[in-house]
Amino acid sequence: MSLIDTVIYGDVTLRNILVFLILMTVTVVLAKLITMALKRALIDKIKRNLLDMILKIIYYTIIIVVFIGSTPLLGINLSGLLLAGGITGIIIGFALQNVVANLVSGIFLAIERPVRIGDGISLGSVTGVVEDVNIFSTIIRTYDGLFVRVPNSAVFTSNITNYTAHVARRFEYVIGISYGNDAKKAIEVIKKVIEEHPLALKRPEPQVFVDNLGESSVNIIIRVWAPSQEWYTVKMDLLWEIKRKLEENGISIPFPQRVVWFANNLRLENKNTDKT
Amino acid sequence: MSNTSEKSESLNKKVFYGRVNLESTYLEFEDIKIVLHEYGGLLKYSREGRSRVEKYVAYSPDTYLLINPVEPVNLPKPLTNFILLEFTEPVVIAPSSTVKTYSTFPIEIGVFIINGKNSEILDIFSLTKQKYTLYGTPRSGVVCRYWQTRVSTELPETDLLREGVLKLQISNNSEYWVTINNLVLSVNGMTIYYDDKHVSTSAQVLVFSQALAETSFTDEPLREGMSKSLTIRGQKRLPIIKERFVMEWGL
Repeated sequence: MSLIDTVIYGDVTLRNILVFLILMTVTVVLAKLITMALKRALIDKIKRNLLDMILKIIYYTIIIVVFIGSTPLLGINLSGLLLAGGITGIIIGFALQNVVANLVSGIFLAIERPVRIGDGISLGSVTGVVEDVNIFSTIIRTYDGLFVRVPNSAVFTSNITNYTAHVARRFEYVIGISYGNDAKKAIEVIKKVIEEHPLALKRPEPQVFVDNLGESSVNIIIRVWAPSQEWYTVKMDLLWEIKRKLEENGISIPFPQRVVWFANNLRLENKNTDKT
Repeated sequence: MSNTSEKSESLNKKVFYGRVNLESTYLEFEDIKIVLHEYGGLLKYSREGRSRVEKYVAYSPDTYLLINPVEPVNLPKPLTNFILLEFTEPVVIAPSSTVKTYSTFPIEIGVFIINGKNSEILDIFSLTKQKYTLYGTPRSGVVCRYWQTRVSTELPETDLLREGVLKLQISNNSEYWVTINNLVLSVNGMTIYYDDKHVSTSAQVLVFSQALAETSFTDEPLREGMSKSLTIRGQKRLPIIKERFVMEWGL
């Protein structure tokens, strides 16, 4: 009997284990090649986050199917495993409580899908873009480029604010103009600036109106809707353009100011400190 | 220069849609100027006016440029696959009837580099003002390129560097009168044709109720002899991608 046919346990020989290992290695390589080929073929045809999810499903499906199909090589009887699963499950459950909690949360997150890859979210104290949603954790890249791994159980139980879940979102400015200026003209100028910006949405219609009479200025509220993925760019573009156009049209944005009345006339002293 | 670079009779404007051979060339699209210049064995493509683009192209002898109208959803950046046409005057259609009309749609101009059967977009520019809008709700609606247009039964006069003619067939399949104020179309199935007089596309609308309709582009030129545009989505389109759009937030 050659070394390769040496029995390791039960009916399982070294050959079986080697075949299993080679099979799994080939499967992993094959799964990677298939997903890479699919990625290359579909990258400009399907949305990036959808493509990543499809590739991940294909990758793990190939590996799991081959793994289940080749377990007889290791002498593992899946039906026996199921019977023993009850007790084993309890033991594993206690030992891997956190891991299982994250796994189960991951499954629920995959069903509920409150966040998707590419979404801009705020989760607890972390704000950034979702880079990946794994089985056990969610990876977030903060806006200043930091890598943050959040366990799925924490994601599942936290309040999540998803900034890009909806197609469009609104932002708001308050701009104060001088009491001496014509508010109606200012509103016209602001509406024209908004109309000129391609990504400031035509509908829902932007709102521009005098909101209140402030201490130093007439305050105009500006509410604009923009595509969720571009709202910050639009917000940055518009504010300076509005300020520029208002000034071009002779409308001033005043500094805070206060008129002070004195009960008695003020006596001004001119102290000339230069002694010649 | 292109076989379609003739003077447009209707607007007295020189049009440059069509094939451009790769040699030192100067093209003008109103205030937009394109210069092709051989530079150390490479072709330098530069566009000036409104915005500036410069690219170098390593090319083989049988390479050429194709300039033609493309889907109007690429500028200032690709955000959507939909265009919303708002009619200046609503169209009222009788129950179980079909009308054939004309309206207009915006265009962008695409510069493709072509070698044999392979093509690649080199540049996109536009002479029309871009504006986007939302159709539906912020939660589940779609962002669309916005365009306001008239509806007429006669072929409208268009500026073929800015807009095309949309041949429209609207069928009211419901038992009620319907009023159409706007239409949303998916550019995934958009086929654009051009010649030296018009840029055109065609679409059909099936109305099921005042709140529901199905729209789709059809592949039909305005007249015989028009050239088919190379489009951006046409290059990338997968056959499985749905080309119809269901308007479920009203007409």
